[in-house]
Amino acid sequence: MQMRSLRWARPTLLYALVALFLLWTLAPVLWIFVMSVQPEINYVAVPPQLNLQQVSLRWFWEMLSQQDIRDALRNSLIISFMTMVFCLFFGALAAYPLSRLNMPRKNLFLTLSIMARMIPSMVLIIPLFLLMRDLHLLDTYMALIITYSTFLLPYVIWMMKNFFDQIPYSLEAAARMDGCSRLGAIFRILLPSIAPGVVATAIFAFIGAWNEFLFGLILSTRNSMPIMVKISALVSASFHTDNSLVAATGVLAILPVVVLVFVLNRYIVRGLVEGVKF
Amino acid sequence: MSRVTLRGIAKSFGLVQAVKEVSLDIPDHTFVTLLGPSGCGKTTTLNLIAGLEKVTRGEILLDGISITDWAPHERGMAMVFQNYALYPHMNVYENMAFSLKLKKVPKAEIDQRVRQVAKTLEIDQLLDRRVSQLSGGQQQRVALARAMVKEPKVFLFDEPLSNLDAALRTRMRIEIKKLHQQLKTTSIFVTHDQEEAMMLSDFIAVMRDGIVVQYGPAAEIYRRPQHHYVATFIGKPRMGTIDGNLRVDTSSVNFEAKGMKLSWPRGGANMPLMDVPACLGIRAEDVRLLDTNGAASSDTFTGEVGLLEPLGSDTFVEVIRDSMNLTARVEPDRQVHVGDKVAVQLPRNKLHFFESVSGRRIDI
Amino acid sequence: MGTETLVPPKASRQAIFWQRFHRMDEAKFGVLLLSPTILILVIFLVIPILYAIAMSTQQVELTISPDWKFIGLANYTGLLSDNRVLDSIPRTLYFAFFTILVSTTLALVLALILNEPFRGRQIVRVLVLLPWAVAPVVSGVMWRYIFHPRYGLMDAILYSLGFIKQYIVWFDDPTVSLSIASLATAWKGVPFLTLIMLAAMQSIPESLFRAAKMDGANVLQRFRYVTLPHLRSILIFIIVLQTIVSLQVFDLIYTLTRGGPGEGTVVLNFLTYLNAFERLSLGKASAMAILLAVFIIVLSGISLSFTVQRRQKV
Repeated sequence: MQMRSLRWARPTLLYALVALFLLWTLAPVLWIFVMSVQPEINYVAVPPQLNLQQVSLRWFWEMLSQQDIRDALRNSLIISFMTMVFCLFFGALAAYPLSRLNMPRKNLFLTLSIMARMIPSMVLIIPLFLLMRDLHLLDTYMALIITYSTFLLPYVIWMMKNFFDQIPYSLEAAARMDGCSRLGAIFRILLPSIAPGVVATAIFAFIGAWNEFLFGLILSTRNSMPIMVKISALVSASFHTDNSLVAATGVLAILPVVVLVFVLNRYIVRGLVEGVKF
Repeated sequence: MSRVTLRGIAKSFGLVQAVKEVSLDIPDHTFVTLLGPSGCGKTTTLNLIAGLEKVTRGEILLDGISITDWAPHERGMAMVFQNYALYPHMNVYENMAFSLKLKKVPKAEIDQRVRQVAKTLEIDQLLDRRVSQLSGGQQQRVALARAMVKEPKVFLFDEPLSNLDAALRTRMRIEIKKLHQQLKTTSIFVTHDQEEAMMLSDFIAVMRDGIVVQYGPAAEIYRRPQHHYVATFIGKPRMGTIDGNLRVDTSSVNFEAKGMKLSWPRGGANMPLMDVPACLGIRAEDVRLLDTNGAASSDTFTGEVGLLEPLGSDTFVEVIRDSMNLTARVEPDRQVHVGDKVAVQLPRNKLHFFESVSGRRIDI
Repeated sequence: MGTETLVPPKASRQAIFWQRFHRMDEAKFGVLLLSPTILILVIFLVIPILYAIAMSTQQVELTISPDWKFIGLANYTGLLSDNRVLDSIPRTLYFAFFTILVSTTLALVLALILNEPFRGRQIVRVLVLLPWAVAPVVSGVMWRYIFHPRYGLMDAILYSLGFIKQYIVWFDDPTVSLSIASLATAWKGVPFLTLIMLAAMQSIPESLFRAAKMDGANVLQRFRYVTLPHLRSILIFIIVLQTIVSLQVFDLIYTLTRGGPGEGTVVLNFLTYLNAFERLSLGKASAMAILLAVFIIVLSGISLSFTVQRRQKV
């Protein structure tokens, strides 16, 4: 009798917990999405009067028709993409010797790069601001690409090192016997053979750059302003604007990364776990 | 023509001396095996020849030209690995064509060479397969094919058969031998399996602790081991040995051990006189199990049968006396039982003696 | 025997260059590959850190051409008597504690759930990853909309269910505001923590559970005596990680409350920002940032060596 009641109680409890977790995870995202496709009047009502017939994408179109929003999205895309390329290239070059070559002080560098991951950006932001100002790089893509790469590289190097570590020594040996130089072996054989890891690292770098805020806030004013900074400005002024517009911008700002997460989910999971192995 | 010469090469990793000093001359067209237990430095030696590691000391010559500093891809050698090391993101055809593509060989020629080698190794059905779809045996064939397509000056094999199961290993062994007889490319083969080494090689270099203990024709390594270590490492079953004292006087050769005395008439004229602690060794096939029960003569070893190993074609009989033991090979239908008192004859011309201290062979 | 070269005497400079490159010593080659990264990190990480340390000993304002005036450790000692700093410390601690508590607990439960087989598990695993990818800035906006006094989802739900007669203005209360900021931080942190925890759980050999079952352990006992001991070092790691994250919170507060009500959600890192870019006192801000950095590095150093020691014991 007791056994029987337990038999259905367990899955029920499990599904109830799953439902609660899904609610907790998805509610904030769904709510901002609902706001972005409904006129403000519907959700300002007490209680909210959501209306399926009034669902509309016009707030998206309105935001996308604004030059500054389009610019911000384009800026973010360019900066994040360039940061990704930069990180992958230099990260791979650095991770290879750290993973596979005999060289002195390797462990010192690895330890220092872990420490670099713990430096709060707040320490760097003032000197970087002054440095970029002196280099006349304020409000340029270059300033943000360099800064983002600097704080992402220690992560990227560790992830890639851990992926390189999984390649058997003989694979590289085979490539070099077949006629590759060391450098050739890295790009023709090693990196392709850990393609999933490279993809994971790329996504990580792209998302890291896309989501960054503080450096964007300080190092850009107009020309290179990323979407995250733009949103924070919109929110500050949201007493005067239609909140559906703010919500729509929020959805636009997370759309690329959400798509990445859904499409390339399995790479991300592996990559993230790999990134925290020391 | 490709003759490989190693002149006193050494390799250290930090404080560890993987290869202490190796000098070998590997003539053109020969098949040479570096044989030894794991950790003896044989794979490191191979990597040094390949250029995958740089020597700490010494010189490597290819046809008389020093290639000591050359990068692996400049040496024109090919290597087959224990774990196959096929490129996982390429199919079989691409794996084989890769080295030719790097050399910028015309496409038509690449295609022709790949297909021809694939046919020789009977993998022409697999060319479009991905590496992950192949069995271990197939992967090793592809790895072999990939090395052959290059038409290298030297083939290097790094324990290529150890990951295969026993039946497959024997088959691949035969195939490698046939290939070598056909191509006659200088080959250097690394293994810890002495049977493999005996079966394949023209010359064997037996290694231990980073040095070559003996280098010579395979048959000689077996017949005239120059060192106690080589004697016991090569041959199956292991060569039987007894520690004792060797005394050569003007009339006879005497060996004494723990209440046992063996003696043979002195043979050669210019044999030096000596009286040294030594180790007697004899191979199972040279030990003759006598019919007479325990009738001892001066060159017989008496004892009790300890263990029988019937293998079908032969039976190995372990003869024990105190803490000493020897193994004798007998016909399978011979009636021997555990516990029997037996005598075995140790023929004078089949004996090996080694100095107890240095392990070196004593020629008498 | 002299070294003969592959390239004939008339070889071009280029060929000789490449030959040298290919035959380069392993360690030298490694340094060559590392050098661009080292260069970048030195210029944009090491030098700025040193610069920040130097600046923390100066009285310096953010102007077009700042005047530096050396004041030793006065910036640091000044922090001890600065009321805004003193006020922000309990806020920061409350925020960090609450964030760690919520995120670790939720991650542990979620990992346990996702480790059980159930229908639709694959989809759920993908969905719960979502918050990880959401930028802190946007998550601040989202949570603001959840607790907004005019169109917040929370008020709407509570009102519709009849729990409240009138919408609550959540962000009026500093403690509630801080708690919401904690929730939002935990929301974003949970997926990653869950992944790490799940990976650790999956590395527990199945045979241990079977052995425990044979010994008559029930679900809770199996959790207590098999799962939990295996997770100990990963739990420590997670707690440290969350501490570091919550001490550095900035973006989220920026869009969630902007530090309000009053200065109710001005945590240390946010105060550093205000000091630097609203009050323009760079020296003081640098001192605060460096103190925080030192604290974080010391904390993680201790815990890292602790977990390493544990691993060696096991």
